[in-house]
Amino acid sequence: MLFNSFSFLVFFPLVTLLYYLLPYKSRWALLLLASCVFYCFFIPVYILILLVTIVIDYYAGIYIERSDGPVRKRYLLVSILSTCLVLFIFKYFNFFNSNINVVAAYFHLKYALPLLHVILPIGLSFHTFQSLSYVIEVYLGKQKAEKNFGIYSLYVMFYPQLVAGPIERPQNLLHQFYEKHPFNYEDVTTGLKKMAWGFFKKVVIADRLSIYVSAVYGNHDKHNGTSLLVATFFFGFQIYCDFSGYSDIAIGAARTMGFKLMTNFNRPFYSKNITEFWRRWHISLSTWFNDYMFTPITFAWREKGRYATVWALLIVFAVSGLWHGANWTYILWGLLNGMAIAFELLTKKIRNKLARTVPGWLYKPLSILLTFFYACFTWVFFRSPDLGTAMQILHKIVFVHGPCFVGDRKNMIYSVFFILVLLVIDTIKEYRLFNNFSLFDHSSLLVRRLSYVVIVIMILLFGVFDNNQFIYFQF
Amino acid sequence: MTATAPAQVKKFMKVFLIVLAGIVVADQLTGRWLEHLYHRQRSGLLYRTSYAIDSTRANYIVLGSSRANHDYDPHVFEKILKTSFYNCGRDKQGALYSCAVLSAILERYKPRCILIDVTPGEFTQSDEGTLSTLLPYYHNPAVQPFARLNSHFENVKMLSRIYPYNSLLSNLLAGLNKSHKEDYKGYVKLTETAANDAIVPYMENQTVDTLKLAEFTRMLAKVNALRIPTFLIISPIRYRYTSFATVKACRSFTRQFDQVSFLDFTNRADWENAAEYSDNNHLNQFGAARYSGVIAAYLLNHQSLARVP
Repeated sequence: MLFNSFSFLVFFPLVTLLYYLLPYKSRWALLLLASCVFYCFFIPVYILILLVTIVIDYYAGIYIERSDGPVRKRYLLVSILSTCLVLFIFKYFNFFNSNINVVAAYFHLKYALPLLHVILPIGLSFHTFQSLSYVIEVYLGKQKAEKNFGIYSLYVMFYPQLVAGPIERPQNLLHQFYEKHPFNYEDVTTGLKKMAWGFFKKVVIADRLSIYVSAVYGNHDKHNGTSLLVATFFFGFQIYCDFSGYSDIAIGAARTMGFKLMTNFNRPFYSKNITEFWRRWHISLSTWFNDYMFTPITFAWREKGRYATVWALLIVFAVSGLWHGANWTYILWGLLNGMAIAFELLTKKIRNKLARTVPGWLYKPLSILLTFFYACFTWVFFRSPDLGTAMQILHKIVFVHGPCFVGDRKNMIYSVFFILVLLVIDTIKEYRLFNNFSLFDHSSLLVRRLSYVVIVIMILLFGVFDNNQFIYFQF
Repeated sequence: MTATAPAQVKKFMKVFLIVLAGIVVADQLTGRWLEHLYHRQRSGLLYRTSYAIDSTRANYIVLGSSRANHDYDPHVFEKILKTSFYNCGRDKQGALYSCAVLSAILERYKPRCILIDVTPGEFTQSDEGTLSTLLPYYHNPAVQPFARLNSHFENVKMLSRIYPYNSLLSNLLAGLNKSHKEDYKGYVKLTETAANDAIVPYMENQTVDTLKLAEFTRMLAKVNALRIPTFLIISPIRYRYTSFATVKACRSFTRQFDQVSFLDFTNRADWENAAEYSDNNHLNQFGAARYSGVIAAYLLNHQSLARVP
């Protein structure tokens, strides 16, 4: 079920209402059932794949906790490998298969494994990582194994974050399923406000921008560099509003039932470098990679000094790229981000010296702009279907200029206007301007309530209601 | 629930109802204002659609997508056929939109001849989501059945008064100005010239949209019963058209209905000149003038043949 669908408009209040009407002890069962229904709106049979992952990691958790020494490690490995195998079959088999095929053909070797014709289960990478996080934490002794199969299933399937995160840690989420969560005015209203803002970002901004971006990127060969540059900037805002919009709706929906999910975005476009950008962008994934890959690698290679960090960064970001999609474009996108962070690490002293020679009022905005431009540059790879197309687009952006394609003028006006609205709101929040002015949290009751009405009216007036999928669902 | 929970529920319900009431009032007021603007249109896309649905009484009409709108020049048709002509085509629309407009027109009068421009992939592309253009006419009984096909729960969504005018504010404001008139009897000319690229194949999806096909068949049966000569036309494209699901469907219509004819301009060497195109799908003003001349001459010939006892 899509958050931006009419079905969800019925599903969400119904589930929330039932949640508060039911006795505490049976609420988890309702949430589990609701999560199954939510998932079955996509491809119902794929819930069995989810069930396989859940069963494997549920028992792995218990056996890991009960055992110690090499057996403990063996259980962890079995769990990780089998969970990743499911991911590999559905997401990566065809990618690796075709690449091996290319290499085999180059060396005139016979290799003829057929391609799998399967549709990628929605959100597979998200719940795989959430499951892995659980078994790793149990192995590290930071989390007790969950004995209640239903609660564990709910941990993996909790509907607000089932298909696109935030990727939760067991320490943050599991215990919340045992808490009572009585009806709390503050939680419900905070959740609803967060959802409203998420819907606004998704339906009004992201889906509006996607019209122009799809028109230009979909026919990149017909457009000049100017149009492609504008489309790339728009894509930056589109992907931010799409994914952070989803996260806000997920966090808000959970909050209305008293659950507190982790923050996933923290105004990344105000980052002054790529390192900071990744501390603010898709935080649940960045911290996942940091905790379970980057830190162990750097620890294992600690004797190699700074270069261990550089290699760890490149490996982690390449894997992060691959996590996003089975395509070289994603891997290169990840590598470019890893390279930028490695560069920032290696040039920190020089850059600090440079910073002292440039006035602060100039250095800060310049850094923010450069970071945004670099993020947009990497998104060319993220958005392109293949490396050749990405290179053609970049070539055009640099060398082929001309009048900018406007397309539907109305669409362009709305796009630019709502990007400005977003920037104004985020700037106020980021720099706490005008006493951290916020319409939603204004001291005047009238202003507060009017702002709720206005955001709904804005969504009705300017939203794009064509049930556009969220970009990150495909991952 | 804890002891304090009922008080919190009460507080929430109070605020919720106040906000909900505010939303309903704001929606009704804004919706009425938008509706008022919609009916005061003097030019532009919305005006042309309203005119096609509510006002035109032209003897010859053309229906269809942007290809209909930009390829059929009424100047040429009126000059050759010496009768009235109106272009009811609209950008990003398909056969279901044409059915809705034609259905509304037939409620008012009987045109002498109907041209329906069919896109090369017409019956293999769903129109779902594009029919929101019909929502402002939801209360027109002839249009409503088609508007409902826009998405599920359309009747519930129509409880909102703003919803039919979603994303239309800038069009509505621009359309109040009569001097912004860019069309001649619905036709909007394209002035750009397409790049002289090599002609590439046009790949049509082979799965037919059965709902669309059924609705379109029903509409053709209606015009056939009214004995209105109807021409299904695939106007020129600068693609090599290699898949034929739509063409097959059109040919089968000519066998089913004696008043329906089919003209296919795909894969025609005389329509490959890029100078006559605005892009590979649309003719520019020069191409449209020549093409309209060809069609008008054909219709004239068809009329005279029809008059032969």
